[in-house]
Amino acid sequence: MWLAPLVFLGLFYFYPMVSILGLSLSRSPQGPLGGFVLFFTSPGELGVLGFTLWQAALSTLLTLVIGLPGAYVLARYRFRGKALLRALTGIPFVLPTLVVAAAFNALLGPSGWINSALMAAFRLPAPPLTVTHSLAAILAAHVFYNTTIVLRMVGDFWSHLDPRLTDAARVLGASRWRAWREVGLPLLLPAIATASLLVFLFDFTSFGVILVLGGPRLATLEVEIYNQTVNLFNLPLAAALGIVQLAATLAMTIAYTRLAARVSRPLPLKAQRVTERPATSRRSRLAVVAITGLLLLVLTSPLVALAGRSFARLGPQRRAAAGPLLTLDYYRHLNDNPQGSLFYVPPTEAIWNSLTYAGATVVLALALGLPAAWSLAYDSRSRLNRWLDPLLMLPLGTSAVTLGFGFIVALDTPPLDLRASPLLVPIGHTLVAFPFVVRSLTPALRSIQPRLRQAAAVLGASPRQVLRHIDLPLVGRAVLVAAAFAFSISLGEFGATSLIARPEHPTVPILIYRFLSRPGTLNYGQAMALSTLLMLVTGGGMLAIERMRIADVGEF
Amino acid sequence: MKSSPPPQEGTGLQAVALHKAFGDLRAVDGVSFDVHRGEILALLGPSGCGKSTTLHLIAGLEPLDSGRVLWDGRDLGGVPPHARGFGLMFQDFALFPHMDVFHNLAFGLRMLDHAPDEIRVRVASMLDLVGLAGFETRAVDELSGGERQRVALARSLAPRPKLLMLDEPLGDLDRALKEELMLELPNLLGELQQTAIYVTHDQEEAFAVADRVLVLNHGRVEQIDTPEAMFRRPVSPFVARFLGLDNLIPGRVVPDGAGWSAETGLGSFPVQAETSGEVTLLIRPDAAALDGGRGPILEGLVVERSFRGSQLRAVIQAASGQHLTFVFSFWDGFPEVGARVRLALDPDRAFQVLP
Repeated sequence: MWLAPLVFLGLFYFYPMVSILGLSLSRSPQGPLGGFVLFFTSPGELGVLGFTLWQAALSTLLTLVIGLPGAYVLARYRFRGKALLRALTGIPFVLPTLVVAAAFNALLGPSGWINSALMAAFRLPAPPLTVTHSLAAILAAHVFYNTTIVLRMVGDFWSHLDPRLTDAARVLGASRWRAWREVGLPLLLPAIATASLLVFLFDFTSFGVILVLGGPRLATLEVEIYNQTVNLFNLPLAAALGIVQLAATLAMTIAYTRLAARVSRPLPLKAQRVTERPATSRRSRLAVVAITGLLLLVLTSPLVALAGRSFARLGPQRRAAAGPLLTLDYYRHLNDNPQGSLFYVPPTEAIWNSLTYAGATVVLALALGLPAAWSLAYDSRSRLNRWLDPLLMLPLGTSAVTLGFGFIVALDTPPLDLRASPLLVPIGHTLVAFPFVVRSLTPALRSIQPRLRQAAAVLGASPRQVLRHIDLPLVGRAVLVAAAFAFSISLGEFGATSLIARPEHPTVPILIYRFLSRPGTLNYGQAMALSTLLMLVTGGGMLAIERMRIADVGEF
Repeated sequence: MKSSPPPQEGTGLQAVALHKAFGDLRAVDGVSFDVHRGEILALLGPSGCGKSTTLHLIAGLEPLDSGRVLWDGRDLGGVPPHARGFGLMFQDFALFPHMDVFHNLAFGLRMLDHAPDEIRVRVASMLDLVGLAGFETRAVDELSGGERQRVALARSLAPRPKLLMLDEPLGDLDRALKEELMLELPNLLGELQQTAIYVTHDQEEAFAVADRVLVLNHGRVEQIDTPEAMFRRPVSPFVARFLGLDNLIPGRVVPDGAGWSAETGLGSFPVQAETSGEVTLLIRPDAAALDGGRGPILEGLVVERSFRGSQLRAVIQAASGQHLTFVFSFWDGFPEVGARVRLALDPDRAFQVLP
C-alpha cells in the first residue's frame, strides 16, 4: 500500500529538498553550517521565528473562536439556506492567498470601500484607517481564510455524531454544560485537534497574505525565505530558515499524531438527517441567526467587497474618468492585450489550464492518498506507520516557494527532466494536496467499525470486495470532501505554481498576479474581475458538491 | 426449487489445539473440539473466557498462534475468511448501516455471484423464515432490537454457510423476546440441518439450544458433553458452579470399609471414588428430603426461602456456618425462615467428588 505514495514523495519531495539543501549548504561562504550560524546569531531572524509562532497561535485561536460555534450550528440544526451558507463559507479556503489579500485590500485598504466612503463622507484628504500593514490585517485574513477548515473538519464529524450520546449523559444527570464537556467535547476532540493543527500549519507557513498585508516590517519565516532566496540570494540562510521551519512542523506533527492515536476511537456514525433538527426554541433560533450572521459577515464581506470592487470605479479614478460608479470595463478589457505582450494568454485559456491541472491533481492525490490513508487507518500502531504518518505531513509544513524552487533545482536534469512536462504542475499541486487528502480520509476510514469488515468477510467478500462494498461507500463522503479540497488547493495554489508553471500555460492565480503586479487602476480592476471569476468557479464547485451529497452515511 | 443436495460425507469441523495470545493474555489456550454435521455445539463460559476469540479463529478473522482448523479433514490454514464458506453472526449484529434490509441479506449472495432474480427469491424466503416478510426496504436504523437480531440471523443464513457461528445472539434482547427466540432458534437451525456453534454465557440458553455443550474457562476446555450428561456429571467445581450447582465444600476422601467416604466440615459422607486425597465435594441441591428420608442427616437453620415457579428454593446454614442451597417440590411444604430443619441426603444421588 505504501509503495506508490513513498516513491512519489521520494521523487518529488525528498529529492528536491535534499537537492536544494545540498546546493545552498555547499555554497556557503561561512562554511557548511554558515546559514545556521547566521540564523541563531541574528536577533532579527530569531524575531521572525517568534513572530511566526505568535501570529499563527493567535490566528488559530481566533479561527476556533469563530469556527466552532459555526460548526455547531451547521452540524446540529436544519434551516433554510443551509446548503448555500455551507457553500459560501467554503469559498474563502479555495481562493488564492493573493486574492484574499486583495479582497481585504478592497475592503479595508487605502482605496478600499470603507476608506473611500469615509473620505467621501467627511471630505478627508487621506485614508483615515490604516488597517493594512498590521498584525490585525494578517489575523483577519487568516481567520477569513481558515474558518472553513474548522467548519468542514469539525462540522462534518460533528454532524455524524449521535446526539443520543450527549442525551444519555443528560439523562444520567449531567447538566447541559457537563454533558458537553464530558461527552461531546471528548468525542469531538480528535476532529478539533486535527483541524487546529491544519489551521496552525497554514498560518505558520502563510505566504501571500503576509507578503501583501504585512508590509515591509512584518515577516514570517516563509516571507523571509522568499526574501532571502529571490531578493537577496542568500541561499545558505534561506536553507537554514527552511530547515528550522521543517523541524518546527515535524515536531508539531509528531506530537499531534501521538495525541490523535490516543484520543481517536471508532464511533457509530449517524446519517446527518438523523442528527440534525430544526431550531425550535427561542434560544436556539437566536443562536442560529446570530452565528450564521457572524459567519456571513466575517466570511462574505471581503468577498462582496472584492466582487463589488470589480464593478466599481472608486477614488481618484472615478474623478478622472467621471463615468458612472458601476462599470463593466474591467471585464470587457480582460481579453485585450494593450502592450502586445508576447506572454499574453487569454483568461479563458488560463481557466482551462487551471481546471485541467486541478482534475489531474484530484486523480493523482486520491490515487496516492487512498492507499496511504488506508494503511494508516488499518494498523496505526505499526512501527512503520508511526514514522510515516508525520513524514506525510512534511510537504504541508514546507513553504510552497521552497517546494517550487526545489522542483526547479532538482527536476531539470536527467534522469528526471520534467521542466517541459505538462504533469509538473499537477505533481506540485498533488504534493501540496496529498497530506490534506490523507488527513481527511484517515479519520473516516478509522471510524468504520472493524466488525463491519469482518461481517462482510465471513459473508464471502474478498478484501477487494470489502473495500468496494463497505469502505468506499462509507468513506464516500470523505473521499468527496478530499477530492473537493484537492481540486480547490490546485485551483488556488500560487507559491509553487509561480515558479514551475510554463509562462505560456499560466493558471488563473498566475494571471491574477500578473494583472496585480502591473501598475494602474485598470490592471487592479482586472485583477479584481479575474479574482471574482475564480471565486464564482470555485463557489459553483462547492455548491455542486453540496448538491451531490450522495454518499452521506445511510443516505444512498 | 432445486432439489436438496445429497447428504454429504465428512466429519464437519475439527478444531485442534487452538492457541491464541494477546500480549501476556492467553485468550485461547489449547482448545480442541469437533462439531459434526448438523450438530449445534454451544460454547459456554463467563465473559473473557475466550469464546469470541475461538469463533474468530475458526472464521479466520484472527490468525492462529498455533493449532489447526479443519473442515471435512481439510486444513483451512491460509484460507482467508471470505473463502471458508462459514457464517458468523456478530454479537452487536454488525448490520451495514448504509444498506437497507434487502441489501444486507443480499450481500453474501452477491459475493457468491448469484443471479439477481435468485437473490430476490432467496432474500424473500429468508425474511419469511425469520418472520420479517416484507421488510426489504427498511433501513437498518429503523429496526427494533428483535428485528435487527432476526435480520442478522437471516443475513448469516442466506448464503447457506457450511458452519454458522452465533456470538451471543440473544445477548442484548429483553427477557421475554429472549425466551421466545431460545425456543425458536434450535427449531429453525434444526429445520435447515444447520451445523452451528453457539456462543453464550447463559447456561439455560446453551442447554436449550445445543446438542452438546463445551464449557470454556480461561481459554481452556473444562468439559464437552451433552447438556444432560454435563448436568448429571460436571467434571470440575468450575463447571458445577457454572451450572448453578453451588454446594461445594472442601473435603478429604478416605477408604471406608469396602468403599470410600468424604470427610468434611459438615460430617462424613459416602462417595464413589478411586483414590484418597483432597477433593471438592458437590452436594446436589435436588437430592435432599425434609423428613423420613434415608441417608446422612444434615441439620441447619433456614436463612432464605424463595419460589421458583413450582420449585421452592431454600438456603440452609449448617452448624459449621456454611450456606447450602436445596430445592424442594412446591407440594412438600417447607418451614419458614428462622426454623431449624433436618434434611436427609440421598446417599446414591446427593454426593459427587470433584477434583
